[in-house]
Amino acid sequence: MSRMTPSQDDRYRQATAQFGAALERLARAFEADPDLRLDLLQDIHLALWRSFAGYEDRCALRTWVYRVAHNVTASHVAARRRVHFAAAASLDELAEAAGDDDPERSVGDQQALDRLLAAIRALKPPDAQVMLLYLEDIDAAGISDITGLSPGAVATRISRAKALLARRFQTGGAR
Amino acid sequence: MSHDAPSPDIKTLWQAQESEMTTMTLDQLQAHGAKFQSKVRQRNRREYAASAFVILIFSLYLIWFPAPLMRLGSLLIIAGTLLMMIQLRRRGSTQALVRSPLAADYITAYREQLVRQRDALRSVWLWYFGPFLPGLIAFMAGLSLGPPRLPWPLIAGEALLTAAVFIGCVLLNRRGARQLQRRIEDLDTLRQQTD
Repeated sequence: MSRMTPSQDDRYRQATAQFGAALERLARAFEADPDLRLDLLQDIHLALWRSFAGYEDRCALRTWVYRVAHNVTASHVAARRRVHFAAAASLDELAEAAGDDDPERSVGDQQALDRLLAAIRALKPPDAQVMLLYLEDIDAAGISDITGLSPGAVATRISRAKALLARRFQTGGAR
Repeated sequence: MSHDAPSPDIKTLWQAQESEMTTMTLDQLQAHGAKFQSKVRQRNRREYAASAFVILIFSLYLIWFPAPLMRLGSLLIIAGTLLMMIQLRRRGSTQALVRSPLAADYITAYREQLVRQRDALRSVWLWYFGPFLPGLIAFMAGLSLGPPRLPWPLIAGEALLTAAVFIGCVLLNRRGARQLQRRIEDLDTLRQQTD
């Protein structure tokens, strides 16, 4: 491995200070196995650190970090769950599967998180990514930059993600 | 609560999850990088060991079998194995694996990955199985003509089995390539969608 330059090191530190927790949530969303999740998270950090050798302020730090992290995750998922790909659902399909009268809509925080993770893992890759970025509070333009989807396609998916969340999850005061 | 808008709590809940590892030290990064490279090297070593075994066996055939065609076949199989090893080294080195468009947007990066996998599957017959074909054909021909002369049903059975394995592998790989092509087309459609 080549020697780390100060700027590469600094950028990595800055990125992980700002987005380290989000990267961990991303790994959690796509990998249920704790050991493999740690491995994936370490892969993301390594790829991120390596990527900063060629960063040169080519785009916003946030966009760069999420692009690298999502691309590493997509490779991990593709390698791990090739056979599951055909079974993955779109946001529309998942929202329809959850009826308005779902008796489990009011659930505790941990249960809600577990169900949210299960829903994300069941989604097709682009939909799962839009959902995750929406949960991280990234705006539509930012999601478009990170995913490569058009702003219109992102807006449609955000709206579907909101509908899915509204149908399937009711937390906090709703308990 | 309205069913048309999500609970605002779900985002808060998502972002409030406890963190265990938000950064890595230089030592940890280097150790993980070394682990990754070691995994790739291990995989390559297994392939090389299998190839070395094939080379050893056919080198012995080269000495043992008197029939010129069988000796020629053995020599061609050894050459084919070496060619395949060179291809493996070229395609499977750790450097080749880390050379990916990591900072491209997701669709671009994912598409490139799928195209690479599709092309590898499409051409696998050429670089993985192909180098063995001339040697195998010559070896089989040598077996059928002797000496030593083997019973023809045995030779026919062996030839059929070998052909079936080759054709099966090629068909499976082509099916995999077609599935990847469909995913690529899905991504292209996705990119063209405006809503």
